[in-house]
Amino acid sequence: MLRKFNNSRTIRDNIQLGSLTAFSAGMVNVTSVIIFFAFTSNVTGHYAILAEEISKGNWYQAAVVFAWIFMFFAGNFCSNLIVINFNQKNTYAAHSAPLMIEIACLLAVGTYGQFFYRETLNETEIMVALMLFAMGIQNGLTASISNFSVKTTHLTGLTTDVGLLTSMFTKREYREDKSLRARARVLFAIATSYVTGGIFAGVVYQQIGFMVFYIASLVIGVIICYEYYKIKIRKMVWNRRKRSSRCKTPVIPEQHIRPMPENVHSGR
Amino acid sequence: MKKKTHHLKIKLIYALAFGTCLALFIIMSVSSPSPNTTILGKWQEVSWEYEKLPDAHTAALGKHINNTLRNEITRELVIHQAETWEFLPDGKLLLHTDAKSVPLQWTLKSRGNILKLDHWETSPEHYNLQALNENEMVLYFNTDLQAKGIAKMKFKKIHQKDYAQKIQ
Repeated sequence: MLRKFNNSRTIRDNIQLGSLTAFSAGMVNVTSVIIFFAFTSNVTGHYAILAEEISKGNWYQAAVVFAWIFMFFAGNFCSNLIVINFNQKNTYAAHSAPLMIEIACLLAVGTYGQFFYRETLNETEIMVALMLFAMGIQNGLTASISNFSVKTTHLTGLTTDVGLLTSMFTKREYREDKSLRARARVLFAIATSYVTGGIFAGVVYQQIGFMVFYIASLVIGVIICYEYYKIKIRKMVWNRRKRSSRCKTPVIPEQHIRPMPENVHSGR
Repeated sequence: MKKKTHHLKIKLIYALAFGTCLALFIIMSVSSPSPNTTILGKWQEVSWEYEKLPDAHTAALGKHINNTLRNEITRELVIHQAETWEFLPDGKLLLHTDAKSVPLQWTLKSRGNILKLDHWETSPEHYNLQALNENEMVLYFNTDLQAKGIAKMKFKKIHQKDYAQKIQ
């Protein structure tokens, strides 16, 4: 999921990464709508609201929405900055670092919300900003490492793509195109995971409140650990092969083997 | 040398862009007060209207909501029969009726466009704060994020001077 970059990624890699990150994004978005009445995984609506608030002359609200949009931008910016600067040195570290930052943000929101939140407007604005930053980080990472084919925090582009693909599939030549079918699989996996994450969060929030963010962090943690585990396994297998090839007894050609004296076998 | 100057130029452009964003944010946020501050004080109910009419039959009757209908709508709500709302800075809201004052807890959500009222005995209620300025406050019922509420409540701010005149 995280080790491969751009065109070396398989459809399976994209489905795994897309599904897990979309599940967590769905959770974060639905929870923030329930608690804060604000969307945190997409900014299309925020752009419209920004324009509306400016036209009404509500400058304070416009500033808040502007800051939210900026935080989403900053998340994408930081994420890709890490990827392009450290990808050559250590691909896994470069790809998992943004996810670690995302986890830190979600844990901060979850912990603060659970133990310190007094429901003031300033707290709400800051927490929404932090979640938008986290979602920006996630979106930037998935888009960056998948050559812009996986975007998991919002479904506008995805719905557009699904619409286009569905219309294309009315023609046989496109239906039989393996790459298009694979693309459709990725998109459907992301959409399904996003909605499932949202429903799950909506149900679970009633029971555990802000702890939902811990579960969202756990899902992201699974991606990091799964890749780490795979790297470890690969390294272990490689080391074992290397060791066994070193320890193997050299094969002696048959003509060089002398027959053993008979008394050796009889033990005399 | 040329490369170094180019790098410096790029860094300067980035710093300028981020600086401009920060400056814009600061200018916008100081240009008008926070809704948390604007809402403080006493508000007098002025009118009740339908923002969206529920059906064709109601449309024929007009947008105005009369007292009977208003009582029917607010039967389950904490704001029932209150005519003056007093927002205090500590998050307390006093709903003044002719006979008594009911204390509630108020908070603003999202970017300050959702008013949450907490009455300890019932579940919290949410209102869409459609307009809020020094003189007027408009609340919509049924704060659905994608759709407007069905009922619109208009309030007029009671400034200290007006209030003094009123009670004289």
